[in-house]
Amino acid sequence: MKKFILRRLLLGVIVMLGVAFITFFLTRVIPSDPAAKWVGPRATPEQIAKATIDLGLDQPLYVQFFKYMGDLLQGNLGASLRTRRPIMLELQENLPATIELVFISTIAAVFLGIPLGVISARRKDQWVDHLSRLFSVGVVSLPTFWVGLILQLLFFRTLHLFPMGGQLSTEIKLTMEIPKITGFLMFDSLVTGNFRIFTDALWHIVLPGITIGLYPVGLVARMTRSALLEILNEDYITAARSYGLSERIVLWSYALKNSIGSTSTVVALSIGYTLVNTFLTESIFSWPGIGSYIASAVIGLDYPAIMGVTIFSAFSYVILNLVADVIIAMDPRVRA
Amino acid sequence: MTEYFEIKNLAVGFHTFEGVRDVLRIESLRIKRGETYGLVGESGAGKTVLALTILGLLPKPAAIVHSGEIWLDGQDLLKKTDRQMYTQYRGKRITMIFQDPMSTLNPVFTVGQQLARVIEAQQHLKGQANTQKALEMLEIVKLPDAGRMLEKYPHELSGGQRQRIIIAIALTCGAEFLIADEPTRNLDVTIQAGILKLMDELQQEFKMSMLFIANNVGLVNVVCKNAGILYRGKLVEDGPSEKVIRRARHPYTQTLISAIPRDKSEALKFANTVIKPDAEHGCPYYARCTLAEDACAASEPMLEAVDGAQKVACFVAARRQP
Repeated sequence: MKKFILRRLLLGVIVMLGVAFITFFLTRVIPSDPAAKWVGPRATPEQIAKATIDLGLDQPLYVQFFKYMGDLLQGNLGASLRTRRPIMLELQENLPATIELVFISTIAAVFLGIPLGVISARRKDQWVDHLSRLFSVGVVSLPTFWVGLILQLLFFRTLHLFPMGGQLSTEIKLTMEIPKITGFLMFDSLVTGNFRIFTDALWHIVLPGITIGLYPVGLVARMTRSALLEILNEDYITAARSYGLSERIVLWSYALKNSIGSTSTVVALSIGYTLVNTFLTESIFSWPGIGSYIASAVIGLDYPAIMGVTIFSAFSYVILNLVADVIIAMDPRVRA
Repeated sequence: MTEYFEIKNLAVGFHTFEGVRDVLRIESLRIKRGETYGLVGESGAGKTVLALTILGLLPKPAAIVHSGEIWLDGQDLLKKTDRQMYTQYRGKRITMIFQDPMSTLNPVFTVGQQLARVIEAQQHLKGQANTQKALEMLEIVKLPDAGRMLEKYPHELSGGQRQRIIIAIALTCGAEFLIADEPTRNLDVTIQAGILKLMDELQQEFKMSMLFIANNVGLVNVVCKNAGILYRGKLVEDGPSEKVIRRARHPYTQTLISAIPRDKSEALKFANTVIKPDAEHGCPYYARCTLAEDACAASEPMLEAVDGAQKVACFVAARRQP
């Protein structure tokens, strides 16, 4: 088991190196002058030339690359071209809001998607299954930005049920002190007993949460269904039924545990996908997370910020897949 | 008055892309209480389908039971709902040993967990009493080192060990009617003998009635009092196993038996040669039968008594009284 994890970790390191390599060279071929961005729109040519030397942009590309990699290993992602603040710091500020969204969608994927897939497989070709398949295929194929806009139109403009965007109401932001312990707004307000902030935050997360969560729920439901259908045809399932075991045990324990490999892989992948999907959703709902951050970074051609977010995303993918692999390795056949 | 276990005019079909295909047509099959009945047939004859029909575990909605009755102790199983089959029959009065020890145990649970589940469901024992019962069952099927065996996963065990565990699980149910679907099919010959001996002893001990399914005529003669030959879903010969095997009447049974090589001088015979096209409404064996007449293609022969308890479904064989 230890050896297995080590091997996977090594693989992860190689993937990370590749990502760093590609992002570094890709951002360098973007037709834009970082030094000019650094000093601002009204800078003189002398100032730009000085900034070029300050930022090390006059040195050969490979020297820049090694310097970049060296910084990366120390956890230094460089400074933003727009704000001149360390990218690491800005990521830390923006991350919690995004993680809240991703967390909610993952909870939905696991606690709605898996049961939906199980029920669908059990009731194959009955109306529950047809409905659930329609739902899964539907939500997987609907573009996120469209879902977001429609939800805003329906629940904000027509029904006035949920706010249009942001993480908190303006009046609460202005009149109340926002607790900051971990940076996770809902968690912090809950532990400090600020229920008004908590419910307001909950109210605000509903629409972006649904927008983000639909895809993983649909995907996980579909994958769980197909994995289970195969397993339900196995001899040991028929055997379990012939011993008079209840359908509850047969389905939710005997069958589901056998599908854990494919289910956990798809959950891990959908978390990674969700993380990327927040980029659009956050822009639509003005959610102050990584998504909004990268959107403005791209528009401002803030390449250290873009690279920082890319590396962070790749890092999450690697970690998530490692977790999925470890879960799969709990299958006694793999472990052996 | 029906026998303890009796099948009457059972017809089962499967939906396929070309419409419904009939896979099982059994006019009559009887098993007395405490008796072992051997059912022989080549693969694809419908033996496993029969077993699943009895348990009410046919895949739905692919399979359809057209007609028939399956009586067990005065109750028609085909009239029971799935709920009734679950609460009163499966695991309680009927249980099954499946043919492939490699795929019958759940690969992600230990032997102990799988035994414990069944013990809890059928004997309502929990905790220490449950484990005690599991150990006891493993001893009954003569598995040494039972304590360590409980901790093992199926892939850590040999075929013979697995089959013993499968038998243990099936016996744990405490059912009175056991369907053994080729329990020795995938085992080495030496291990086969051990398993058969074990099953025979256990049947005496637990006073079970058994439907013993096999694709080997020789086994049936040893294990069973009565036997039937299943060919393409139809019971073509039925009677005391001694007679069915020693004095086979149906041309298919005869070919089956003569296909067993006895010594070197004998040329290997092949029972599986198609010599003419299938007869759509006639005898299912028509295409391979060397004795077939025109009448065999026109209508299907029914089981007919030929020699006391021995019955055969063949126009030609029925005419040739001994």
